Amino acid sequence: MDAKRKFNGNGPANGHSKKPRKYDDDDDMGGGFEAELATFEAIDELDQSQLLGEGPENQQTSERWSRAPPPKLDPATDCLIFQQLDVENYVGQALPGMPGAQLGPVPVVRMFGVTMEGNSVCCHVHGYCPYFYITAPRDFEQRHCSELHEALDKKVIADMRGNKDNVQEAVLAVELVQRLNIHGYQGDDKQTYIKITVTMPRFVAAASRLLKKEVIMSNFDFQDCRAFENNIDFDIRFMVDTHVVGCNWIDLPPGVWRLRGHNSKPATESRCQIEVDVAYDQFISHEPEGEWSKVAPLRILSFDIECAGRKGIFPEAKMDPVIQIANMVIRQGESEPFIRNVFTLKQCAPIIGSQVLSYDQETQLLDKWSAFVREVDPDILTGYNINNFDIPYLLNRAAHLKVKNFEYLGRIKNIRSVIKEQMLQSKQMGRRENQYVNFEGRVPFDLFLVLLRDYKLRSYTLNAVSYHFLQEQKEDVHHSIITDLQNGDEQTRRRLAMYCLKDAYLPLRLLGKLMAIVNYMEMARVTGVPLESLLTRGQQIKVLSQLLRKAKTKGFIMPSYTSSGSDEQYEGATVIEPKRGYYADPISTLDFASLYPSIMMAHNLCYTTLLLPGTKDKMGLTDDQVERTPANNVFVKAELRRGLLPEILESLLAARKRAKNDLKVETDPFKRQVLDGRQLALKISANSVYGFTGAQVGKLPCLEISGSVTAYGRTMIELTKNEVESHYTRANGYENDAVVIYGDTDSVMVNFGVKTLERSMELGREAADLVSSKFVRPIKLEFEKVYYPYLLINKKRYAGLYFTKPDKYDKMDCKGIETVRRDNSPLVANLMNACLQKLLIERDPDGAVDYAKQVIADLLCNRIDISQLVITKELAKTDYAAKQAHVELAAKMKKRDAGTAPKLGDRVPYVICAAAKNTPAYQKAEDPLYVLENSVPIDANYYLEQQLSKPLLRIFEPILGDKAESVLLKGEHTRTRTVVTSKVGGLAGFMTKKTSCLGCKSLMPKGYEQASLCPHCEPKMSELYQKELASKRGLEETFARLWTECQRCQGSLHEEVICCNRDCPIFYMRQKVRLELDTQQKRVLRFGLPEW
Amino acid sequence: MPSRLNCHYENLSSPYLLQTTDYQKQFCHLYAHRLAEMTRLLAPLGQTKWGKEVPIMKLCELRGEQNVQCIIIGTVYKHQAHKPSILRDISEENQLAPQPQRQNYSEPEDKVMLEDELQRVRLQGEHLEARNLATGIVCAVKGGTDNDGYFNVEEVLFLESGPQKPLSPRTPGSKLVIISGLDQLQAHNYVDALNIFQYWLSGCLGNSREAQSTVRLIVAGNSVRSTAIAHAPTLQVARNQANANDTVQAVGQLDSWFVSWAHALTVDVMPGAYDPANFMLPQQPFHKCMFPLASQLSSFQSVSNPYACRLDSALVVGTAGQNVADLLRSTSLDSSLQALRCTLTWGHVAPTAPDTLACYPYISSDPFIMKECPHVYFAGNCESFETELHVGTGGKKTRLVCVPSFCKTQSVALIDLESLDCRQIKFSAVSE
Repeated sequence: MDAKRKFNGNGPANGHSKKPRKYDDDDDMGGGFEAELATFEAIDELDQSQLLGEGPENQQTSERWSRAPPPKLDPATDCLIFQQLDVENYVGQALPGMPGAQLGPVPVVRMFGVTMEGNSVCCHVHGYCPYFYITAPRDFEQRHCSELHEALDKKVIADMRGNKDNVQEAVLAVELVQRLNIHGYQGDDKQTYIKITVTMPRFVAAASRLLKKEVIMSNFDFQDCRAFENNIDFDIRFMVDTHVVGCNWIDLPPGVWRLRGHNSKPATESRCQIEVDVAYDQFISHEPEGEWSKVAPLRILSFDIECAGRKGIFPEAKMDPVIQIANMVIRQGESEPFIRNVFTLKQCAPIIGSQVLSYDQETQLLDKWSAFVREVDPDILTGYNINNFDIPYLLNRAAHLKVKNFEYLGRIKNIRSVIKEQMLQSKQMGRRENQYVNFEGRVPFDLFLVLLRDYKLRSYTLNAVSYHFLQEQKEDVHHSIITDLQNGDEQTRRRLAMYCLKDAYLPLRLLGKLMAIVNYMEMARVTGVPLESLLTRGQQIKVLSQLLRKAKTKGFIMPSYTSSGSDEQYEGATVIEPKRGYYADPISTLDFASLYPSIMMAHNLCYTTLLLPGTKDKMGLTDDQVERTPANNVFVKAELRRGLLPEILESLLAARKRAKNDLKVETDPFKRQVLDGRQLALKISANSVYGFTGAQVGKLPCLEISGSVTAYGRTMIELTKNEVESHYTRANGYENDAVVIYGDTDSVMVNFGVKTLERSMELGREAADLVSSKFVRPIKLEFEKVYYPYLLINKKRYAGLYFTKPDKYDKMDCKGIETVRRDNSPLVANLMNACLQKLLIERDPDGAVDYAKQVIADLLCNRIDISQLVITKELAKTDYAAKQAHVELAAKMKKRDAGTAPKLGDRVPYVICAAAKNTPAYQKAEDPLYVLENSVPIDANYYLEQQLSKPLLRIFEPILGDKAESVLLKGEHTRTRTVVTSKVGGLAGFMTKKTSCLGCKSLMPKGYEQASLCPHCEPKMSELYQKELASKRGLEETFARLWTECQRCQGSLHEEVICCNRDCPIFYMRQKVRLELDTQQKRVLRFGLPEW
Repeated sequence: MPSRLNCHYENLSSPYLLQTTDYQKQFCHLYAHRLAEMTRLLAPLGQTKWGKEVPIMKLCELRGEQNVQCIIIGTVYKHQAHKPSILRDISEENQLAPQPQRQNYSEPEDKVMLEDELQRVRLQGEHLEARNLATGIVCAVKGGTDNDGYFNVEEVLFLESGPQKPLSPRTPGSKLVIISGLDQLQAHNYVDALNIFQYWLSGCLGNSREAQSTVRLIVAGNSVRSTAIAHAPTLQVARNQANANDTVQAVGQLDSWFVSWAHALTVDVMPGAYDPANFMLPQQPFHKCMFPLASQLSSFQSVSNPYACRLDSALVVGTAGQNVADLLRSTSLDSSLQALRCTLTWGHVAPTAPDTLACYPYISSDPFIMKECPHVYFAGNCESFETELHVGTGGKKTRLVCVPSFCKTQSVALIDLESLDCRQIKFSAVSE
């Protein structure tokens, strides 16, 4: 259970929700849900007693750090309005005057938030109690309620192992209610259910279990009574019932709330500036619309730590000190952080623009930092990989050093932040260990996890990510150097601090650039779940939250579903068999707008409209009142009952339309971001409804719905194909017979056989309207784009130049082509990209073939830069069953130099080198730097055959046909090869080098040993000299550009570049150019100095 | 033919000649040396200008104290968003559709920083003509830091060039001709102009008196070509510079021109930005083997770029124009003359080297610091002829000459080494 609680980092697994992924090349619907289900289980109560302690008071040390003092508030006359960011619950004592149980412990909901003035608020909400339903047994009547109440109460209390909270009352109320089961159409007559309200969230599970297993009342049998809504998180339940959605504004009107102060009772418990109590039915929860879509000036703290590790060992909290912590605090909506500081161990030279706080003792450093966090009182904590590294490291280190009070980092004074560890197994990411730390009232928002979820990248190191999104490289200091810098003087420590500050600043810049906070906040608002759960939970909770809200208004309740783990499959989306080839004519693409949502709306597919077998006759429904789907399921029509899911989808899509319209007229950039985030969130949410019904281990799977949706999708694609192909024919007066060359899920590619973009767009638009008219509203076929030209490789693999207007293309669109795979060398992606550009943009298939040949020739002649050949893998563990190249290499490097060898968790870059025949590939991996320095020959064949050939053949087969292989891989260009002679190994030790002529490479005749050219070449001296000089010239230019680039990147002119960021494309280049320039200079010098 | 004037000549370019090379070094040493050397020279100037009350401080000494008046000596670093960057050029998007290099990437958003040995600070202030500053300049600024981490500059002091030796011509009326941008690859377009130039050199145009007083010809770069070789886009393959056959031919033709000119007077040939020479500054003289005929004449030599020599008492310093061209790209200076003047007043021939101008990674010297103020200071390959007699502090007089590119203007610059007068002479065959 524990292991399932926390986010599993399987972002890319959520394939079905069309997230704003940059290079999403597999748009598979459906898959991935299983993987995330693991995270879906309810977060069970933290055992609060473990966390309790005596936390320190907040100290106010700096005006810059602290929040502005709160205004004087009078609960009788003032209202309190704040944006809530976190909703959670705890067990507290009943507060007199509040609704709900009055005896013993009660659940209290805590909302944390910020006012528009930037004051932090903690709001205790009292009186809300958990409940669930069961179907009432036959003959169970109102008068039996009190008996059941008493009996169940006794059972539940008796069931408790110990009663340390001194619970005196477990069941609060038992009543009869009239509700409808959401699952299956049963007519509009409500059935009788027993609603059981309990005092504590954990009694929900206990009570429903006892009802199932034990005899509660002698005359009634509850064992067959189905339980409803007993599997809903208490927080979600609360939010649904009080109309609170994630990150919305809460308004406490005058007279209903109480302010806690110095001597109030109950006393203040939080570190927030304003702490109040209110009853659950007395506050106003504003819908995030209009004025209430604003965002409070949240404080976001981004930080990064540096540890002084030992040579060759990954830092361990028990051994290696924390030497620096850099912090940046920004207010949401502002562009620059207003607090920039760095805590350092030992003196550090000042940094202009940032505060430097130096301490002699590490314990002091940690203690002050913890106090700093409490004083700054951030709403959101961010950084890069803080959840799995920085935060746990700090907590462990502080515990090891016994730093008092360090772990009180949350907003509740007496609750410690502790680490929970869990192993997670998922299909996509393999085994992954995750850690979770609680910060009551503060939301940990690790940028790393955001990126992992939303973007598919080749590499997720901060370097790679900042290069990808900001086009900036980041100086990378090798961990072995960090310790040296720390042990130097105050200037070297300053250098380290600069580096550390940059690492704290980059996450903020990236969050801003990606608008992550705003987008996530809008997602929380749209789907009604707390902000934090978006990062820690899967997709389902979002749909569940919306479904519950909708169901409640209509009197529906949801049966609880226990996963049967069945493998029942339904047929997936359809794919029209592609007619592969390179199309030089425009290909119009017709897309169904929001296909799955509109199918559900058009055909009224919902839990509430599903006719279970036999019901039709039982209810006496006629054939006009129902609709049989292509998957052979039956749903009632909207005239009889409008489904909930269609309504939810309608409101989502309507809201999206509104947001898009508002976006058009809004000019304020920040509000535009909010609106754009919203429309995106709405789109994603609409698409995830379908996935919810298809998730077989989910909360409420309904394969009748998901199966029908895909079945409709299939028939629609088929219908579209037939309509288009039968209407657009020569016989009907069109230029050509239209052919549907490919169709996938929600789009159809049509070749109208016309030559101009304008005409293909015109026909596309016309066809879209024609076909749309054949479908039920709101299903709509839209003409979106023309691919011109279009390269159709296979199912889900194609590329084309994307036009939406005739004058200029929008982009080059590639699907399923090796441009982002992580385990390939950059050469593959770059070559693919280049060839596609030539094919599509320059429309030069011959040029593309020539280019590919040229690169292959370059590869065989050793002219490709080594950075293009580097493959990188993470050293996750050393005991793989099968031998792996990067593991073998890491072991080899450890023998050479344990200090700089990669450690567990590091990423190991390697290249494949030439070796004797039949040497297994894992033995051929070598460190790229070693390769450079010792001129170890590259195994060009490996790169050609294992890396390049398949993707290349794939894109060229549609053009060259069967001869692709012979043209590309076996042609003239593969005959010339350059073999480098290694300086190490093999016969290197036995070779002596003799001078040869720089012109004809022949050995120098006697008497010419010192000359540059042999007598035969001497007349061509000027020409040959210029040739050598030209090579040197190119190298000099590259040398100068590379090394000055590094200087700029490191931000210093007078200090040596020590960066060892191996992800940086110029890391190997700059090393290589040095060696080559030296060699070339020697060649030039053989002609003698130019002396006059 | 009447005998020519003869004046005393001394080649002062030895600091620009590289005897050994070491490419394992980084550029920080060059900057560090430049800063140290120029600080040594600037510090007394600062004290003279601003008095002893204002202390010269290091940035790291400004510990949290605000608004302390002080002098900081450091290297300017200008952060420019559109500065050419190899990282950007090789990024996946740019490889095949390279963006054309911007002619000028100076923008109002550029951030100017000053860096001393250890730290950097952002500069601001009205007196700071930020847009006209460039990376690599060493200067002293007076002012103080503020809360936001800026250094508010009140005044800026540059080194200017060093002292100037008096001009005492021993050969009255001797003249120097500077030509640049012969671009032999394009020469078919103006071969007549070249012929006229040759007649003029030898005094066959009724100008024998003038010709007699012309003591020296400096060919200031880009004799072979004056534009870059276009590169076919390629996938980061170590660049394979094809040795164009026409370049070899052009060098051969140049050899014959030089022979005929060197028969008339002494000729110094400097390599230029696009010539078949090394790329980094200082460019080394052409190898003798490239000019087999001319190199046999004692009146012909190839020299380095930059080039410095003394003609009688006049110190002549100049480049083939890369320093000026680079400044024009990275600043908002709008004429070559302005840029040339700036390098003189900054006391450094090529401040943007090595940042945006390729330069050898010197370890313990910076040959580009102007320790002595020249009498003639020129830059070759400019768009048009511009000149000015610049008067510096202490009455130092320097003739600034922007030598026009011959292939574009068919003209040369003629400088009187006695009066420092300078004029342009056109050989356009069309108008004459």
